[in-house]
Amino acid sequence: MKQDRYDVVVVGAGMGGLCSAALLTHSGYTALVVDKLPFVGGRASSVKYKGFTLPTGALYVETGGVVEKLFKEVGAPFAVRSFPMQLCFRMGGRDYLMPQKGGLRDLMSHFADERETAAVLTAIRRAFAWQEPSMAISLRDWLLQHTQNEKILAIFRGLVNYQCVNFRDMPAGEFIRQLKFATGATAGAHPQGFLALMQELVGVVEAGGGRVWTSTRARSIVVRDGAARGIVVERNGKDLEIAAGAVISSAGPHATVDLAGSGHFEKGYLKELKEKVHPLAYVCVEVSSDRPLVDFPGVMVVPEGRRQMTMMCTSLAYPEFAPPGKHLLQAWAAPDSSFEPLDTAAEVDTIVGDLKQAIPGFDDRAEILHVSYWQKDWPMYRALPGALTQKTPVENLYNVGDGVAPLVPLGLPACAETARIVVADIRQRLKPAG
Amino acid sequence: MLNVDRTRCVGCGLCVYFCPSDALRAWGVCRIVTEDCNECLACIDYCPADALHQSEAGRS
Repeated sequence: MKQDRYDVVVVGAGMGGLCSAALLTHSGYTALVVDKLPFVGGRASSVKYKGFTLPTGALYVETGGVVEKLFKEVGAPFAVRSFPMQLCFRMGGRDYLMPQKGGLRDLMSHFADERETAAVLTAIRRAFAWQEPSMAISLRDWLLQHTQNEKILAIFRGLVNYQCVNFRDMPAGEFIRQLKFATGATAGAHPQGFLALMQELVGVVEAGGGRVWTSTRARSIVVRDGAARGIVVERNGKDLEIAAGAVISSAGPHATVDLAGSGHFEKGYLKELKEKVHPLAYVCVEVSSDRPLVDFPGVMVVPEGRRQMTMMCTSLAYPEFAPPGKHLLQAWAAPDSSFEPLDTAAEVDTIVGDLKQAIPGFDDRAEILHVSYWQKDWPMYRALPGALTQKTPVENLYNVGDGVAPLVPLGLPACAETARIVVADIRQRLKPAG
Repeated sequence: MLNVDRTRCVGCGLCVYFCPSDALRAWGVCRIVTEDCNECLACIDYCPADALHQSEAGRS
């Protein structure tokens, strides 16, 4: 078998893997990134389809946060254009614009008296200032201690959908942490799509002497004497062993164990993996129309359907995402459960039914372009934050990405943050071969 | 012949984007429109869940 050597090899060219490799090569390490798919970015990429630019997963990235800071640190252009962050709630056939200051109180005041509104706001203030709610209770069940008002519950159901998690799956403590973290954050997209953004990181890796190989499947992670020594990949129909001082896996913690062999991991770690690392599911419906299906240029929350839903006429903020004369609406919804077996086709039927109810004249004005169901091995998130640490029991084998997010960030910020944590550890422990 | 392993398919629809014959549909799970599929097998490389396979009959 042909052999090669790098300081670090990275499995997976998604946001976590490419951020890791960019930080490493920027610090003088040699790095190789491999991905089985023919394109980079993983669930943070984009494709051209029928003239539209559509995402493979992530729809937007926060601006001014950890991802942008990392891009700046490694010298990668971050040409993300923000969109208006104000939310609009479509409830009971009416639209309610949520003011950016005092928005929650304002929104609730349409549906509840002062006493009921104050009860919920007091509970949230106490959760912010004194103690966060338990992770053992869902946001829905936590709120039910403070209100039975269906409209108020719907408002929170809509807010949690903005974080792409089912109301009943989101732990109350996690929701409060996300609210604290999100304060002041804005979000946006690259006008050419996520693939263009991820190619900026590839440029950093390659400029630093690293390599990014797509269409290259990791067959195994080589472990000897309790330490990771490299990987075996299949490339152009041949197996190739890549030796390395450290291995970073962005393939998800379950896949990392499968690649290395579970016999190399402590039983306690495997127990935690089984108990804590559960992927979260989500659905995106992409719709084409001649005229905008909603006039609001930001995110519209539709919380009262059979499934919680958020939608945006993306082409109002990003005309580049639709061909001339067309508009693109993206609707995101949480299926009934991430953890129970579901009839996924029936879930899509339900979500599309809700969408048709939310948009008058849908059947005459709109055409469904594409439906994405993210779950299992290609999920919305591989796990909620705090499930596992980035280090594994195998020396010099790390995980990065949304399966090992530290407390607080979800999704892409979690990928960047875990890359930063792992590369900081590698820089302390390993010297570049030079 | 191209087959979908429904136990592996996640319904992400990536295969739909990359099928040059427009022979794939995704609605919670992937489905092949057999009469439109020209067996180019491009979709197999784009499936993140390894759910698309060429059956033995197709190989022979």
